[in-house]
Amino acid sequence: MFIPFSKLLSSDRDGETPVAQTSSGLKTFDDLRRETADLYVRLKEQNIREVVLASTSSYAFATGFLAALHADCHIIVPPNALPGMLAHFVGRDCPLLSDIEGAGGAYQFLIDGSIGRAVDFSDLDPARACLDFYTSGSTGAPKRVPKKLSQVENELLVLDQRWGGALQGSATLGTVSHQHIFGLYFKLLLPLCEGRLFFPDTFEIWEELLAAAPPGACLVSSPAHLTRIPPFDPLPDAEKSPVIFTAGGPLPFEAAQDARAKFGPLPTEVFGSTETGGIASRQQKDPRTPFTPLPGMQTRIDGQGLLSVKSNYTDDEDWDATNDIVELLEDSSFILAGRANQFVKIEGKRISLAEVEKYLTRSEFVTDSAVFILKDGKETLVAVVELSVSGWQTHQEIGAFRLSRALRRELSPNLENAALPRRWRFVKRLPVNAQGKRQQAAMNELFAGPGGAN
Amino acid sequence: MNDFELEIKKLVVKTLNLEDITPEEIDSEERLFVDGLGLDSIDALELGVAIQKTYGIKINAKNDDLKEHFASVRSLARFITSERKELGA
Repeated sequence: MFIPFSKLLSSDRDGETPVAQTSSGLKTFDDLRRETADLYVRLKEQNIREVVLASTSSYAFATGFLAALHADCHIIVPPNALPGMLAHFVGRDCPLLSDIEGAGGAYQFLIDGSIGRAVDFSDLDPARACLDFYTSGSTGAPKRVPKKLSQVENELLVLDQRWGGALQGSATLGTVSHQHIFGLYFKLLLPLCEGRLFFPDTFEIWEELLAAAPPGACLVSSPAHLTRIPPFDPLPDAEKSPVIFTAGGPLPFEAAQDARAKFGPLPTEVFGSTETGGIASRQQKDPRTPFTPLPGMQTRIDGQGLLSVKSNYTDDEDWDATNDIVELLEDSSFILAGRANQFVKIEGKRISLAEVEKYLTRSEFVTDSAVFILKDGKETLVAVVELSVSGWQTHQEIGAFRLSRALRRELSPNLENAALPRRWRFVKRLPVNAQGKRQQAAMNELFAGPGGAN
Repeated sequence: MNDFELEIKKLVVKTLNLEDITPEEIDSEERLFVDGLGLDSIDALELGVAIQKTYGIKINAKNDDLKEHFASVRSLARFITSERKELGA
């Protein structure tokens, strides 16, 4: 039975209801309530007003999220828990609430599964409670996207209205993180509100996900994983998945058909953004299958075809312009035609090229760098790097490939995998014209032939 | 060099489109992931798919310690050889 998020802990849901299947055992609704109570009391005692919430386990995230909201804490949700990202936010007045020991240094509340004394929780006020999501901005700094709890709650109601019936009784497992809004809603909050079991791990490897999955489980995934399904035998009919959710970027038609052959249904592609929330969905029977708006979602386009949307979970329940150009059909469904500005998306992740270059240029091996998308059949993130003296020395010692991987490792504390360039060229000087402007054609040319230093 | 190990090195380089490195330059005992060769989790997914398709074996997370099998070219070679023997039996 669906319980609105703001009434979850004050509800009379049976304490024995399974909530999460962790690697160390099953967590029930009673466990959730009592572990949340412990965190709640600790936050209250120290009069904490704001926290950064980032965790490995989705279950730990759930207890932290509920505890902070009930304790009247403003919540910051960064897009990942990498040390470089957390450093943007964590401080004396804004400690880290996390299950990762030591990640917040001196300013951390550890989510450790301790059980507190019982707390009589009251309803949350969805109009008052609020949180900030952050996404990778186009300028190199994370971009803040504020939300009221009422927006989160309204969207979860719509998701339940749309998919609750199909999902009834299914456990949920995901290959995506709850630190992004899609994973947070589909892998964690929707199952939690609907009283369905979820798996708190983020499965990177399909084999591990399938080994853990009970029959008939809902999968929450992304194009990065759905385009890389190993040659499994199809699941037996009785074990097929009721719904496979994917979001973050376009799903190739072949990948959609492959997922259907192995897991059951065509994946349900959810189109939306952190700013607007979920907008529309489709199952790709045909590459031209349009997206159908979610219940209550209004759509319109301007003269250029730029999509705007409005629902009871867009900001101020008003029209919000997206960055997407669409072809709007008569029944208000639409076909995606392209993006309006210079957002770069790789593997469904929004990547800031400026940010990748910024971190790359910090390396002692690097003097200057250019990072861009190469359209070489598929879209690949590539880097052209001007090496320093020590960079060239290392190049000579370990070779270009291991140098490129060493640079990827240097970037990895600050950038997600999708933002790590996959092809590299090392040059004496970046190709620039007399005005110092980069020569994109010359840079593309570097990737035409085989690798090596240029 | 062991022929089968070389074949796996070729598969790694070809599957992952590794540039600036030849199969012969990969050490059989070098760690494939993180340090060593420096492959990442997306590489792991693609390599897993390629190995299952090429050698017709099944990787089952329930029984096998995946991380150990994928540690190096040598451990992969041992793993694939034993899996194929089982299939043949």
